[in-house]
Amino acid sequence: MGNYVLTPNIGNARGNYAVDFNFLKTGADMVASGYASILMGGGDNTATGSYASVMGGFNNIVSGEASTVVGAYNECDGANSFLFGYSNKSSAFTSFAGGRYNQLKGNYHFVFGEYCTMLNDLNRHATILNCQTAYIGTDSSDGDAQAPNTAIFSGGFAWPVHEGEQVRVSRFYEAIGLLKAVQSSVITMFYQGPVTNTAHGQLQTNGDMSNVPNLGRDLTMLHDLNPITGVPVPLVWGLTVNWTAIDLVNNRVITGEDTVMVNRANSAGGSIFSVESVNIAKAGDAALNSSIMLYAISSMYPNSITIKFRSNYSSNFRVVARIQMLQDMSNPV
Amino acid sequence: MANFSLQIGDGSVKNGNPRGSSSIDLQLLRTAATQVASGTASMIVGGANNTANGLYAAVMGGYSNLSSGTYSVTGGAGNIASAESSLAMGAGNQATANGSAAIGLENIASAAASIAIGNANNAAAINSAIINSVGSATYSTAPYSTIIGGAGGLTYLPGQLVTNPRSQYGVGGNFQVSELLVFREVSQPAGPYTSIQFTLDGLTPAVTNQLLINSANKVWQVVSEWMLINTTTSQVVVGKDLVVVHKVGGLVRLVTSTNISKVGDLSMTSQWSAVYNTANDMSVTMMPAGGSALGTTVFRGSAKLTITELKSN
Repeated sequence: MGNYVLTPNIGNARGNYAVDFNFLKTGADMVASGYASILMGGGDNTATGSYASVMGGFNNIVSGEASTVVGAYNECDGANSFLFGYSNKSSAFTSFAGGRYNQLKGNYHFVFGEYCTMLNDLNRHATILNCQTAYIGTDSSDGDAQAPNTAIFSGGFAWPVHEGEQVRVSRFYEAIGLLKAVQSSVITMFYQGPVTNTAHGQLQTNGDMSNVPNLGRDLTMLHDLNPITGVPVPLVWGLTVNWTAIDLVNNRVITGEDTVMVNRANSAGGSIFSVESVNIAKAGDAALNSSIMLYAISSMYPNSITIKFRSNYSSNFRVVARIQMLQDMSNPV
Repeated sequence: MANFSLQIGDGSVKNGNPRGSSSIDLQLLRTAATQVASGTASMIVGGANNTANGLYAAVMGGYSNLSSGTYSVTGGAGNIASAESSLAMGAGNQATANGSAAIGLENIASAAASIAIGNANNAAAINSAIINSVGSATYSTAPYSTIIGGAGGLTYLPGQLVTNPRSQYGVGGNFQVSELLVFREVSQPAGPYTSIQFTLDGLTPAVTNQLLINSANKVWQVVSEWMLINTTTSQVVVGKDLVVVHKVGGLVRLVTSTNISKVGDLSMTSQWSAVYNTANDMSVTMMPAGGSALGTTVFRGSAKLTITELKSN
């Protein structure tokens, strides 16, 4: 076994089958010391992982197996990942980061932005296309929602907390402070199973058809902390719920749209204060028009609401809802 | 300092100029002597006619690429990465601002931390992104904006998200769907409630934070989903309106709306509505129907606008 090193007498020993074209270094450990690792050029770069590579730039560190970095001040200890840009850090498996100052801690993430944080592996498969200071996952004192398969498309200070949630637009609180609150999201919820006039179906964010309520499958408000007082900042939601219900037994269908207001105001750190809803329209088989409705109520879980589906007759239903959520803070900062 | 090159940099076209200190140059073909890894700790992995003259700059391979920015990276054909930490991959792309990236064919990313991916896109707003689109652009007036897919899309307002732009009526946002947020927090003294106008940055209304339509002739069909919170009493109203705006010859001739739904605390639903008028093309204002506050009251509100934009001439 051997390696190819341009400066064999400078720096620590290189790894077997390593290629080290890095001339500039200020530390002896800034070498391609990993098995079959590569430093193609630049300065002060370090590749300690097996099959790891730094394709150029300055002061990058790759310790994850088969990961690649180019740019400056990037650090990657997750395997099979790719970082480029400035000062990105990843401990994630098979992730991608471009931009600057992003941190990836969960697996299968894709981020292109700045100051974005993907917090843990329970929030895997998240995508940030263009955002400044986004959070995916839990950094709140009062919640435990996990948010896999989420996406953020634009804006700043976005924070999806539900599975599959898309934050489509979000804004800084330029006038109000630096808490993340004004954002507009889209969330999809599902239910399939029996429904009677007493046993109602419960829609869930993860598409679980078991109809068993679980924390993180309802719609949950996670609060940031007021930087001055240290108490959670209460939120308000305005929801537009577009839903479709199919009676699988009788082959009937109905669609509808509801507006829902959810208020956690006046209860910093507490539970849902009030839920109000109104149906805007329904269209479909006439037989379902008077017997089917969607409604929102406070959940059995803290800071959450449940979206339920009721029918005046017993049948087997498949119900989906697309929820457009406008979120804002309900107290001044 | 040493460098590593497959040719000795003697200044000839064949061998190129002297390489930069600590650089790596594995390129053998060039048409100018300057096409070498001349930047300190720069790198050219291979290809032809490539130049890496920025500090720690890299050309990953291909033809006629230029990496001149510090930590910049290019690969493909005819790409330019001229700013710090910029990236240009594909063919004919230019990444000219710090942290920008242009990937695909003939894209330009000219604002800091902007991204242009696809074909012939131009990202000119800071922190803006164009993903997988053709002939789309973000104006400098639209920081943090995004265009996804389609062709001929345009963002021109802060935070604007454009999806499914179409180029049937020309490029420049003539036919597209946009999403925007407007918001505001105001304190009102004891006495009759007064109107509250939402803005794009939450600040006092000014020309720079208004919903200005970019074209002289355009129709906006707006679905406005809004909420208003009395943070003093913790009461809320949520509503949804349908709005039509028509701008002709640079002047808005029509703004009309209808309320679809309103729900919330009775004291709020009976008191507040959203109104839309022609001030600075279109304004979103919460209007009280009367009523007074006994003491200082803080209101906070926001609206998500889903706008179908269509050029009208």
